[in-house]
Amino acid sequence: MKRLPLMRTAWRNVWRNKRRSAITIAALAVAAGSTVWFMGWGDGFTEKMAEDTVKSGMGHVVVEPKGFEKDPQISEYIDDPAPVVSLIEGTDGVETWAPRVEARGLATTPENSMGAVVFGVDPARERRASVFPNRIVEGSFFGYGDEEGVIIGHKMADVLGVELGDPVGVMVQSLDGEVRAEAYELVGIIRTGNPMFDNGFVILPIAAAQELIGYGSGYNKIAIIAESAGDASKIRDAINDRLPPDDLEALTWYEVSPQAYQFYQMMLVFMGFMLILLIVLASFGVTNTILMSVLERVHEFGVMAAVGLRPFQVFRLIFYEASVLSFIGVVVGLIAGGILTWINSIYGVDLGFWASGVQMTGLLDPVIFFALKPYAFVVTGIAVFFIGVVSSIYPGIKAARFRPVEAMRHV
Amino acid sequence: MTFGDVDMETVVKTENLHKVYSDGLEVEALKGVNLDIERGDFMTIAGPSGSGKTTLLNLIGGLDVPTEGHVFVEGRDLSKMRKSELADLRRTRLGFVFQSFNLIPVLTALENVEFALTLRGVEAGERRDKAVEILKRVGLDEGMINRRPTDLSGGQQQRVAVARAIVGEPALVLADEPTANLDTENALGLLDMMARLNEERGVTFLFSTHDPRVMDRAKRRVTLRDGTVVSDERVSRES
Ligand SMILES: Nc1ncnc2c1ncn2[C@@H]1O[C@H](COP(=O)(O)OP(=O)(O)OP(=O)(O)O)[C@@H](O)[C@H]1O
Ligand SMILES: [Mg+2]
Repeated sequence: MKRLPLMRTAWRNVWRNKRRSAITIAALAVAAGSTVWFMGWGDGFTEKMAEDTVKSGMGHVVVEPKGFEKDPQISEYIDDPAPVVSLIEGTDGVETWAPRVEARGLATTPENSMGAVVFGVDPARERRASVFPNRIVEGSFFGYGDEEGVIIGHKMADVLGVELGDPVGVMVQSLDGEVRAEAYELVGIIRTGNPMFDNGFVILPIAAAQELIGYGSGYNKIAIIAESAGDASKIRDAINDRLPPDDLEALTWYEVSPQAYQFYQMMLVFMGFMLILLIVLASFGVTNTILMSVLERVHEFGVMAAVGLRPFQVFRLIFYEASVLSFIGVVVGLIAGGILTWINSIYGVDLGFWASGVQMTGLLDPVIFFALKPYAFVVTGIAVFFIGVVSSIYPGIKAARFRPVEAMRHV
Repeated sequence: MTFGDVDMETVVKTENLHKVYSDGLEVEALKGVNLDIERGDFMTIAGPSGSGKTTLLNLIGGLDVPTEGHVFVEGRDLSKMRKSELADLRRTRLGFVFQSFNLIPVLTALENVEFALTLRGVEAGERRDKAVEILKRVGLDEGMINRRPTDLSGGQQQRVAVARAIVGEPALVLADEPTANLDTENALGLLDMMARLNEERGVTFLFSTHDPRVMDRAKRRVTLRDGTVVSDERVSRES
């Protein structure tokens, strides 16, 4: 059998009822466009979360005493970091590392006090390992050389009512079980956009923190920055292979920060749900409009049957019509969704209104820049096209099943 | 079939054909029709409105199924054929002309005729020439062939439908009141052409009609009344 002009016929049929075709195309375009947009948001969000988690002191990989993350005991620390450091420096893919001392404590002034995480850092190393040095809004990130003083978040400074130069008391439980307090001069104020830091962090030079707690030259953690984020698990494994067992362990950032990961997965479930809803709606709409167009042309299918078109050829005609509609819908949707995503990849979306959620994710500033990734377009294009043509199966079967004479009587 | 006889091979045979429509009121449209249509027949089925002409044509063409009885087309029992086989039969052996709404609206006159040829597997180049020629022969003006049905008059549409039905030179053409929308000149022109196809190529024609212009040309006239055949006469004529 020669090739029938079914495709040409389908193409013309599509343009017969422009309004209805426009509705079908719009339904598919909305599905495709929002899917791309959602995926751009999801990818942008993940990227930012990974980046921010890493930048907010976690590093790509962290080496710490086993179980420290779940139950940070003051007694758990790396008392002899030198061999660990040389192990880290000898691992492929490591760009840099930075030591940490972390303890729960209080920040105090004569009038006020509030709970805080005391965060001891090596100022020189920190400049390459986290974003905090860049988030100083007043003062400096300690000096170069004379590493003294304390840095707190801008909200904490407000609550405590302190300004640069004022003394801030820091109180912790030390290694020997006693409560120790020391006053430091406020040398810097940071603002990250995340209340967890802006309202709860006290940053000390690591030597001061070590002395206060009584760690000597020990650290609680060593954060590792990888040359490439994708290498995190490789680096973790390489280090774990050579670490003394039962003592220390290396973890990737997403293992350390399960809340962020859980939040991300929650977002994924939510987005998945939205998309399924959208897709069900779209396919319902497409099925409906195609069915309507089939029911309007019953007579014509009778003529086709009389001329000798096989039922399957009638089915194919409807299938081609759906293909044309789906193709146009997908193209329109991808372009529109792409433009929106592109705009959001430049201007971002501010989640500032949703502080509790933001805090949970550990994001530094609550602005998400969407990711514009080719795979999202490919996956979405194929999926929505597929949905469009699948939606034509039922109407197509219906058209193929019309009994010619009944169809002919239909005007 | 004896040696020396005229070829009186049966193209269509109906056996005790009954059709009851039962959507809503029960109507027995055909009440046992037995009819043999021979190859080369040029015949009309006449009868008052509602006598069952359209019903009979539809059953013969396999467009509908009888309530009782059988239709054989070239010896094959339609009731034993699947839908796609019926479609194949219609495509290869039959041509249809209906009273109205005959054409595929999104295709031009030429494309409608070509469509039938494509279905029969005719090559593109030959297809176009054949379609153009047949449209000329049914009297459609050159300028009309690229119009869509909605831009043609009823008579013009009818001519395109006839062209489409006969272009593939089917064994049997079933035409339901084909001249109803035509003026005398066009009606006679169409009939001439169909008569010529009948004479030269042996194509069998079955018309349902009230039109005396068609009845005049018939070689055989069947009359239906109330779903039964009340007369079946062969017209002998010289020529
Ligand atoms: N789908 C149907 N449902 C119910 N009754 C029908 C149906 N089609 C035809 N009939 C009835 O069957 C009978 C025969 O109809 P048919 O269309 O075959 O007549 P006809 O001879 O072609 O008439 P006309 O000259 O008006 O075209 C009529 O009584 C008609 O009302
Ligand atoms: Mg009729």
